[in-house]
Amino acid sequence: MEKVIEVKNLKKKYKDNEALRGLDFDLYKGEILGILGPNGAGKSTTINILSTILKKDEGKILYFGEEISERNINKIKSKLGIVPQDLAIFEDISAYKNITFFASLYGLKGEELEKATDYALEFAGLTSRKNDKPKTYSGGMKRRLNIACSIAHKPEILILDEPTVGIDPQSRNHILEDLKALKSNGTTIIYTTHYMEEIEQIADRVVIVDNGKKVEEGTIGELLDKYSEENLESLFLDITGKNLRD
Amino acid sequence: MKLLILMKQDLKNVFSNPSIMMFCFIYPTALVLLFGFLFSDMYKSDIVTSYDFYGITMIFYLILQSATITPTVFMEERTKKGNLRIAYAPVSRIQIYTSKLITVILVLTVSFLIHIAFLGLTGIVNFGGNNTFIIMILFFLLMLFMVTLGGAVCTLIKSEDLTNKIVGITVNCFAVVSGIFFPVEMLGEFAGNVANATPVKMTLNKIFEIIYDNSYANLRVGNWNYNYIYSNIFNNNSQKLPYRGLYLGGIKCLIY
Repeated sequence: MEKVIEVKNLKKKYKDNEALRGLDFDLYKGEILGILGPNGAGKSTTINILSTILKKDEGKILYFGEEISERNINKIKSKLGIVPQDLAIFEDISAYKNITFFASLYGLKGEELEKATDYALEFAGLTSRKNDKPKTYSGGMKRRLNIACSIAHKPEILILDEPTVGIDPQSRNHILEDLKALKSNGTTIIYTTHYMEEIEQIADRVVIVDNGKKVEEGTIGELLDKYSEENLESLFLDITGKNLRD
Repeated sequence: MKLLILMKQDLKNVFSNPSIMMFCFIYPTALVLLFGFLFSDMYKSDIVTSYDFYGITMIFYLILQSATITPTVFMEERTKKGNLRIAYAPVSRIQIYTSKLITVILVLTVSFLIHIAFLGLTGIVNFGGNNTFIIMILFFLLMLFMVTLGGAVCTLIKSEDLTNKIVGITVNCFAVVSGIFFPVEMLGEFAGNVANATPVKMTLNKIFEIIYDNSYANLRVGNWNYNYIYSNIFNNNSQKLPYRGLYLGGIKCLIY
């Protein structure tokens, strides 16, 4: 299988806090990779580094076999879709204008831009409310718009950082079904969450991170067999322990 | 092209921000009229009315305060989230910064031009007749400095709130000490000397000399040098070091 992202010995330190202590994992084309870890494990730091807005201290990340540089950063960014943990939308302009604006930054224009916007709105189930401002939306609708803004330019890799926090089961189900649809269209996905059932539902493989390092990796079936556990939650607690992390 | 897309969105964000709109389109004339009216008894001269004095000082004060507009455009809670997504897109950081700076400068320039035109053409404030253009250039250069300084501090501190507090308090201190709000000379000789030593007062004095004495004597070559250096830094080095370069240029400006 073709590797689209290779993370090697990734390290990041915030003052005295070592957020990442040599993280390694690979992302294969067309898969959904779930990244699990307790609070402070380094998931969001990893996502921020992968999305190019945070600089690593050490290590190597290869996107499609290339390391990021001034020369190719925009080429790589254009292949990524980022869904950050916090909503990253303008609340005072309509959903349609939000998607159009962000998609246009990826070079889309004219009919192509209109089609991409319609596709993203349809994908997020927001077509009927496309002219409303996000500040009038429910939490779930805002989350869906947050994803729509990330997929309009049809990224090859979609990186989602806890995209379903604080939303109702219907919106969550909609998002998960959408991600499966994206996967079937060939999009590669990295997904971090605290909800084990979401990972069980959509992930092909799992990387479990703790204290800034990978502690386990494999398919859910492989890991359950290895630890003789019945579900992902007990497996996760078995690996990372039951101590509070906050 | 992407710069234009970004500027269009930044303009929308600025025009949908009530506090920036108040600052740009209400405060200047409102403050001039308010202070002019309140202190009209103190200026009995036919040459300089209280409106003439506060017409200059209040606009000068608001231009100093314009350093707080850039952090608002960069990091205000309402737009910060959207700005974060722009950073994910294949757009260079220089374009992101430049777009915001140009937008703020554009909006402030237009708004202050409107106020100066209104106050000047109605005869409420004397901006120097034929010298008005020079006064406007001085205001514009000061605004360039303050806007970029606000952006520089905001980028260093990474907090809109803290930047606005630091810049706001500093500007207000300078404004009070230098006698922007009232003639500090009436507090005694020492206060007057302190005021005269501040760059704000020195600049104001030069502006008044240009308006009323038609004198460019104190507008030394050095002053224009800093403007020249500053403009050069803005135009050339911003490609590589948008804030550092502007900030250094700004320090140069403060010295004068």
